[in-house]
Amino acid sequence: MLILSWLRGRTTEEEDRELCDWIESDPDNLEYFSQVRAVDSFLKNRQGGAALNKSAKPHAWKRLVWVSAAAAAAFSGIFAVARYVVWPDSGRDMVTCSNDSEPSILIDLPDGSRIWLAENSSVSYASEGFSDDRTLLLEGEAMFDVASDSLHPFVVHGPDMDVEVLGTVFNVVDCAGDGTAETTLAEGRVLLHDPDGQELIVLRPGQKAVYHSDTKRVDISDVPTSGMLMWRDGVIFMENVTIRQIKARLEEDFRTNLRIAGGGPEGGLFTLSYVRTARLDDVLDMVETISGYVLVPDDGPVPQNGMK
Amino acid sequence: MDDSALISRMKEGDRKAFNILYARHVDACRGYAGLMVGNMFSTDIVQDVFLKVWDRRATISVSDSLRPYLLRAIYNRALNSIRGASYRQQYRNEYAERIERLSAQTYDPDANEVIRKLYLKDDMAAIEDVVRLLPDRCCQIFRMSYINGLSHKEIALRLGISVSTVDNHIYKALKVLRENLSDPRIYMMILFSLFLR
Repeated sequence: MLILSWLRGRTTEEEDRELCDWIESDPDNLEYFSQVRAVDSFLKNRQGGAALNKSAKPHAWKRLVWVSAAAAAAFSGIFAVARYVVWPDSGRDMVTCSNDSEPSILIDLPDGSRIWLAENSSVSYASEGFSDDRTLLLEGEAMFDVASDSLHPFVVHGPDMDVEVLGTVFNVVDCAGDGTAETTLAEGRVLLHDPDGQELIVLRPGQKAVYHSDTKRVDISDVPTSGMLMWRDGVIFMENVTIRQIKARLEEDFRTNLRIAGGGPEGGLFTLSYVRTARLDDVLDMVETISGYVLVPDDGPVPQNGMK
Repeated sequence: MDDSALISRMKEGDRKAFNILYARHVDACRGYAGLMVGNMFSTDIVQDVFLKVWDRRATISVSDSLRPYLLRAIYNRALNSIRGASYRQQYRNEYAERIERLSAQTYDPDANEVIRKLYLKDDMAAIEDVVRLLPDRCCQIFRMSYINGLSHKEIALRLGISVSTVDNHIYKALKVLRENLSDPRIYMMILFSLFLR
């Protein structure tokens, strides 16, 4: 109800603080709040709009059923990619899911947990008895939403680091060969081990740990997790980044070299978002609009006059 | 005429085609921008974005629909401009500011299902479906508020009930709409829980 008072501008400063604390305490609360607000705002802008008075179309029911059927079809498509291999040390049958081309694919695990697997990544787990021994092998990057079950720890093995989950949403990047592993936590708690089983640290929500296997050092930093949650939906979100960070990220995503062809304010920090399927031209144009910097493909032609 | 035909005419420099596209999308764009930066600043951002579309008409890589391009451009602009000092003044206090900033970030036009349905797809049918199924009293109050534009106090006076009862009905309707719009799969479940009450 506080939300409604806020939407109608009737809250006191004390109530604003209460609402702010509630929103910041849980990403679900933020999502709930912002969606209620979006609906309210949309309807208010439509006020008097004829659309709502029209009688509803008879197809409405069918359409909804069809949506869920389409979702089910998409799921079976993912499982078709899965193949069976043998667990390296125990001889148990394994399911491996890999994602070579999609921005992210969703995998439902037998225990009710879900994984959003990034491009060029794979996970393997035992095809039987997963609910009793929740152990996964990961190579690459994935985001996990783990079903809580305090009797059965959920453990992700990577080439450089093991993550034991104490219940929750988190993101792991661990590629073989680069000697570092990254874990970012959105909700809950996770415990990190090195490959020898030595306990490294317990992460709090909003923290990112980078582990360097050569020096055995762990760096902890605070990160905004909303960008991480959007990644799951195929959206790239960068907050408070410099033009160099934007450039590096775009070069990686679009597999191309970029050059800064026109200047913007020195040392500026920007926020940028785009969908993974966007065209490079459009993203570069967006960068120019928000930052003033003109980025061009390094082998491409230079625009006649970037500043117009 | 659909967007794609108008876009190709606009690309050839047809100003009329651009005007039609503008008229078609401007309201949704203003509503969407208003959600993030407030109504005072939304007009500027939306004008800027449309101007840019016209400037870039020859090279723009949009072909079937203009809306996704517009919303993403607005989203990026809005997030970058709410950091500026002039925006700070419009907030009542630091908590209001934090709430506005946090929620603005969540309005990504592709990642947020509610935004996608409302502002990208103009999916009024989804709203109608839910509104029709609200309990009578709730539905009546919902319409008085959002369609007839009456304030909560006016509704309370007309129906001879308290303002907080009106608040309750409106909030319940918003909650159900939000739940239904954010995930169609739980639609049945919500209907069920409504009938049980």
